[in-house]
Amino acid sequence: MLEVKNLSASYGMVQILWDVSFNIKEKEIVSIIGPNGAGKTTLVKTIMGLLPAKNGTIQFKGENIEKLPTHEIVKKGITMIPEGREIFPKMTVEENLQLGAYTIKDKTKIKDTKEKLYQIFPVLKKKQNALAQNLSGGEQQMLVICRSLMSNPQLLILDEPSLGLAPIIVEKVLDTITKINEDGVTILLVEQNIRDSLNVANRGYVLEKGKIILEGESRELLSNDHIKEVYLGL
Amino acid sequence: MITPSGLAETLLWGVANGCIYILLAAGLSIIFGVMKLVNFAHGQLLMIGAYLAFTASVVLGLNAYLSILVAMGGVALIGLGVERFTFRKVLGTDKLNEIFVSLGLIYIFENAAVLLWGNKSAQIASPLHGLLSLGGISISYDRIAAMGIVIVILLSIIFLMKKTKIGLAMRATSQKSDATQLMGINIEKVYIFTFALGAALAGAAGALYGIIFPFSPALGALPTIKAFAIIILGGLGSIPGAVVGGLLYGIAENTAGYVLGGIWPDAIAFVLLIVVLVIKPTGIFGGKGD
Repeated sequence: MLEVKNLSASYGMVQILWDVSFNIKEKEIVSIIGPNGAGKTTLVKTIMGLLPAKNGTIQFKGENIEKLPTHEIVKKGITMIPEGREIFPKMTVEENLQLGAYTIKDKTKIKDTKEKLYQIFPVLKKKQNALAQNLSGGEQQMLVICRSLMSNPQLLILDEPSLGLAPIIVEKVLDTITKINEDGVTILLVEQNIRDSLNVANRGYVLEKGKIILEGESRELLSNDHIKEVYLGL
Repeated sequence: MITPSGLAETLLWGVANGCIYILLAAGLSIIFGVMKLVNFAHGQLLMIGAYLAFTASVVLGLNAYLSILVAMGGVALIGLGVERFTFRKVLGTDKLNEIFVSLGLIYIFENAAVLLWGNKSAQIASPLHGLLSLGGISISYDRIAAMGIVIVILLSIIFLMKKTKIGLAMRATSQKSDATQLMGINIEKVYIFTFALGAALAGAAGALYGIIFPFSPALGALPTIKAFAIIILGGLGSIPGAVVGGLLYGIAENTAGYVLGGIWPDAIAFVLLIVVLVIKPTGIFGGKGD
């Protein structure tokens, strides 16, 4: 579904990504893991067109998207939840969800999606007129997940969804990701939290210093010596 | 001599003047809030608006108050061009680039106005004449009309911002521009709409100014400073801030003229600007975080 080939990207003058290649098949959960500063956020920002690709290609369902502006990429069916969640703080929960559905023209469809999400997350319905900035961290995470689903994406990219959340909420977020996947949405999960993300992902890629150094099934990666030593402290 | 009724009248006229400044400041504030762009040529858009309304009413014989629409449309179109061909190229590169572009635009607009309309004073002839007097206080019908028009325009802007899709996108952009793009929103369209809207407000302010006061191609400079004083007073990027700031400013300006006389009305903009920057740099409505 997504095929990234030999992607390089820079942030300002500094090259961050070197020849990154990976792919995601339909209905998969794929995780990209790596330490802070490995280039994970640069990678997803480049996929979404927020940063320009220097070299290489990005194909979504067979179509090259590396030169498209961000809003066109969203219209193709990819949405991303950025690092740090990026709610619209001075807007209500309802308005945040409306923004998520910006590309959808059919009003009844928007309403149906919203009602469905409100059923799954009743706390958001209760707070629909509250400003997003007054929600708790966990609620904000639920809000951005719902916001990203409002456009009925085919591929959902999550950049460090567990960042700054209590372990019990992280668990809930990962559960939600699995459920979204079961509903047919392909997932790219970018995480520092390696054990948790490999537990939900089918496959994983390890990004270090801007290069993919390892890839494989989640089970294989969890028993890999490098991963065990560097990331899991075993 | 300072009398109670004289002071009351001064306040009322101050509110009327403030209304024109509110329009100008609201446009500046919307552009700054959404695009983070500081446009020092905003007052020149007001000046061009005054001349477009002047041309529509004097040359084409349109009613002065209908010529406001011509000024809004014309200046909005100029705004489209300015955003597309100048600011878009430098937006987000460096604040200095944006400032130099806007300083350059000041001279382009002023010289263009001299070429097109000549370097003499003009005023738009209003169909309204005379003063309304109530209990010793009088105010011109033109100023009453100006207040009504500003209220209608501001209510339309609030409706646009709160109830329409483009308003939603503008508010989102003002808070988080990257996240806004991730919603599938074409941020360039938001920018161009925002600039045209801000320009249209300046155009309307120009037409109202030209109905009440005489003007020349050099009109723009002082209103720009006043508009900046108002949005800094009210809080950058805030429309309620522009309204309260504009009213306070209009009253302060008129009262300064009445009480202190002579040169004070214009100086008060700078005094207010400095006082606010020293005491509360975020303005009355500012400082609530992102």
